[in-house]
Amino acid sequence: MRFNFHRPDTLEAAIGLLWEHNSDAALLAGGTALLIDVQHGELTPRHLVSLWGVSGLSGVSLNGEGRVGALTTISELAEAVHGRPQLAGLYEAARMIGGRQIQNMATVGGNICKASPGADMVPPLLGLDAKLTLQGPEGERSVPLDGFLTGPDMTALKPGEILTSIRLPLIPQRTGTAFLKVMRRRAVDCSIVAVAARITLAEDGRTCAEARVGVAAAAPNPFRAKTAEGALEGVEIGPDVAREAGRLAKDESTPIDDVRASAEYRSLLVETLVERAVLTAADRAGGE
Amino acid sequence: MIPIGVTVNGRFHQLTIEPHRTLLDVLRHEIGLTGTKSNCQSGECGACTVLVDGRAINSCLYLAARTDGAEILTVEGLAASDDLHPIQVAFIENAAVQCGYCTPGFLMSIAAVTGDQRAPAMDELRAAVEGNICRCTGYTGISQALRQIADRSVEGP
Repeated sequence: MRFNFHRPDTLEAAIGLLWEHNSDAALLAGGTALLIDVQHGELTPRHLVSLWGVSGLSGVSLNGEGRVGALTTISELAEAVHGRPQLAGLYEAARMIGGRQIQNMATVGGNICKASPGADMVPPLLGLDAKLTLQGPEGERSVPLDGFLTGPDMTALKPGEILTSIRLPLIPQRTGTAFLKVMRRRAVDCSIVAVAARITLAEDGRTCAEARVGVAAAAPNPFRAKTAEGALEGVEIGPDVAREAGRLAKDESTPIDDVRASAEYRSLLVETLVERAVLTAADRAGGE
Repeated sequence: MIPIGVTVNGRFHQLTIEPHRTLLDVLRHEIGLTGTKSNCQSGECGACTVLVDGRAINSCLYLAARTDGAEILTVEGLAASDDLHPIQVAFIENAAVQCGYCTPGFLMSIAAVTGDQRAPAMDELRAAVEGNICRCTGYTGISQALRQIADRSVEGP
């Protein structure tokens, strides 16, 4: 493991280094994914650009529109959202990423930008309609998380661009969220399938006004199961509707066979987990 | 080469290191503290767990260059005096050690949640060691040790 190590003090300097070294450079945040690949020789970047010296990239603010700095660790996010009923899904996802050691190092921005098919933070963030702030050589832009991931290990980031924060629009009242994940063991493993749901009820407290269903590890990237969402909106959420949403989400999935599970098993999991997550989220929305 | 000033178990060290070296490597081979174990090198087993500014991390995935100005606690610093730390006592009394290779990592993960001298609930202790694997599979003893720690209000480091 040999590389030139850069520790810029400013975002501008980090962007400059990334732009200058382009495909020879890798951006280092928590390091829990990148350093494994570098140590095992699967990635051989000539330049590592660390973000540790750049201030203002971490921290969580949940007053009004939410803002999560990209360098916020998974633990810091979990601690910040703990006890907020509407963000239960986000908390549940955070606490199922690795063990505490990994949660203390891995960052929210890193989990998104690694663009792993099983990125656990992405489904709950998709459910919250998260937007990403990107800074690059041409300035700042904001893009929806939905559509940002363009394939395994691929994102819409342009050369020199850095994800600096994740923005969460104001969450409507009567909203419940939930996250479910199945692994081969009960902790510290990649998802076989992970699912997040958000249900926002209308003023009558019964009809679903807005639904989000996010699925990870059942397609090249985590995705929103939009036909399932469509089937949930405008109706009262009950067992039959939830089961139908599960079936639709399964049809939208394109899982593969791999070392963790077969495609067939993943399909069954998507169906079952979506059904359960939708019911839990609806329950939480009603109980709020 | 990168200069760092780091406090390990209360002792300050001024070092100059290559950027690719991990905290695990520097603890074992520069500072001579071999209690922290090297195993999976992938952040999966927890044998290399140490505390950086009070938080448990996998030192195999933590570049030493990042520890400039940090306070590190390793298993060697757990007991403040010649007396064993209560977490260590709980492990011994419950026969929670088989080959012992995973033990320093388990102890440090637990120390991270007993640090403010309160008695963590059992589920918090179990969550704290989710990232630690015992390849002897001696989890019954470890579980009993956790119970003792939860019951007895272990004082932290």
